Amino acid sequence: MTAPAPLLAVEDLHLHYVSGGRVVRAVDGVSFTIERRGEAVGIVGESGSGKTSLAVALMRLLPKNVVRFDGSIRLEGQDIRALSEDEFRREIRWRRIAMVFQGAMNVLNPVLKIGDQIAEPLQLDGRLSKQAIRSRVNELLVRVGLSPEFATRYPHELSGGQKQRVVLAMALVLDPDVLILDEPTSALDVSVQAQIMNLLKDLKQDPGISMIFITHDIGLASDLCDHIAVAYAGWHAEYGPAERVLLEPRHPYARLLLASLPRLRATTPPQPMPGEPPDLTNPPAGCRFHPRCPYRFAPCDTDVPPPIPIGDGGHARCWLNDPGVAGDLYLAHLKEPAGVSHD
Amino acid sequence: MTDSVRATHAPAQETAAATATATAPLISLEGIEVVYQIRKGFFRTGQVHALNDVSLEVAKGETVALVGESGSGKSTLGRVSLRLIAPARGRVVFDGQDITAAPEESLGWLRRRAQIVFQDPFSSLNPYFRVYDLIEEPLIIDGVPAEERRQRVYRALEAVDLVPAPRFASKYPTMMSGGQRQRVGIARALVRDPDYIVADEPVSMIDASSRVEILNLLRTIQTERGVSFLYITHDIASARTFADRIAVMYLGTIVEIGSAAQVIDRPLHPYTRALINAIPEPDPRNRFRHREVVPGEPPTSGAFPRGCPFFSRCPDRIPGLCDIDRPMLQEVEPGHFVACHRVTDNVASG
Repeated sequence: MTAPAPLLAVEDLHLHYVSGGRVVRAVDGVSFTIERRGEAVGIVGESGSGKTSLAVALMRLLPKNVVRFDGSIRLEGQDIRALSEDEFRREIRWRRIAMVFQGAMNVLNPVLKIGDQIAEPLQLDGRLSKQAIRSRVNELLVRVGLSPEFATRYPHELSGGQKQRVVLAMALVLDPDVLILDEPTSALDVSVQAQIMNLLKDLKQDPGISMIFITHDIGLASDLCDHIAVAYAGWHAEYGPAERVLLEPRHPYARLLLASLPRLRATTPPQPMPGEPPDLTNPPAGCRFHPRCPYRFAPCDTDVPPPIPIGDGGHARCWLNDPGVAGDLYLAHLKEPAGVSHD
Repeated sequence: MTDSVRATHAPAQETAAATATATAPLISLEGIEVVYQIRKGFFRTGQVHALNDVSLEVAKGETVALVGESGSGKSTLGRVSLRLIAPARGRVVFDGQDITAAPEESLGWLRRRAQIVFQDPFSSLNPYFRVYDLIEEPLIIDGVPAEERRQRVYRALEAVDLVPAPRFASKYPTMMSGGQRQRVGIARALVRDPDYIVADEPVSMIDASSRVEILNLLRTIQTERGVSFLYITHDIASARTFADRIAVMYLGTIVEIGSAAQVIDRPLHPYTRALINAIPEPDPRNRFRHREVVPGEPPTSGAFPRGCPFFSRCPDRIPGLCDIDRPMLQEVEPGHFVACHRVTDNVASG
């Protein structure tokens, strides 16, 4: 008997745009897996690292200027990237994979009641009675921590945190397996952000929604995610279980990023990251991080590092992780104090 | 970033609270009250209270962080300290001079000595100006001769590590990264050689990897030039890195103030504690536990509540006391002030 296929397996995904006559390699060979229901993977990256483009590729909401879209996206074994647009729209988008867009709470329709906005896909679907739709809306409101009375309110009567809960209810309406969240708390204050993160933790458990959590804040990713990918210039520089990525990062970028964060109770001051972020239309040759990397050696400025597997199912795109190439330098960066304290 | 900047990072946290009171303050805000008029429909207007009886001093060469969420009044207080907003009540004193009601025409000297660095390095720099012109502009207003202007612009660029200065001077802001643009914003503030800089969320819109550089740069400017800073932020962790003292604001009032170490290691106001608990620091164990949160959200408009501003959300409130009687700041240890009726219980429980 073979093991069941993972819920979602993305392999060697590419999404390139053309912009101003130049090719932007926004997603350039990205792989990650969500094994089972209720797991969350975090995509952590700075602006321009390609993290939102990854979401756009998974939802297949492609702009017209796409010049390359390939690789595989398997949902319970089925390659949904190969589906026709019509099949994808009928079977996958919103029904199996749904998304909460960045800033979605600010684009709720101001003249429609909350309940009607949540119910819209069900009404279009036409399979449920009015009564059933109403009870489904009420159930969703309760699930996101609001009372059913919110169905009759208008967006302007809601606070920011309440609107973000409504947006979550809207994404959950067709009972998706995978929920993509693009910076879902970036417009909220920290005390409200913490409330929403608690809600997302609940939704992972019950009804067991899998999540792809896109954020620039690696600390926030650690609040939800079982696996973390650290995006850099269209790559996942590092990917693996949260424990490994946060405590023993194998890619120097991930390591330096963690060391650069101001901590509440750190004994050492945060260390600045050297250099400037890359230009995606003209990324550096070889390893895209090499101009900023304090550990670079012979192959880094010419040879593109592949995702080098690490025993735990993750990978790092850094030559230091290949003993055949790095020789004595193998994992050299791990021998230095990381500036990362666990407590 | 150069090593010199790294080396000058010296947390002055414990000592600063004591020295702050020893020297005469550069900025002194006393009992500040600000009320905004807003429209509530076509004909009706309403009032939003932004600050309620706030007092704060910033010593020479000191950095005070104002930490709070949106609507807490932190930006308003920063603007009052620059007299960009005139308070409805209270006194604003800059280096011994009362500027509360001084007419704008008489404030030319203040506009040179006090500067602001804005949050958004993308919209606060005119995209049609070269970096050189952006930084030079205030000097033209000051009537500085051309040759001196050129030298001072280049010196300012060097001070923010945009070197070689002539290369960066000829760029347009759109050719630069967010971190570099924010350096231009800082150079523009520095070029007038100010004594006081209000930095209003200077790193919230730039990438995580560039933030520390900017904060270290501000710290260097503070230590090398003795500039006083009011650092406005929602990020209490960065306040610890950068500030000597931290004032926590909620709904138009300061609820707790002390040295950075006092406020972060021994927070005594329930709101400060909630704020600290809400911060997710990278830790793989986070995902297995719910975060302790305070319910609700701060009210967005209207008059101040009669009692404690945090009453509606407070987990430790005492009904019949906290909703009626507004707690005043009291000193619980040298330099550490808390406005909470429960403060003696909280001191006991640590």
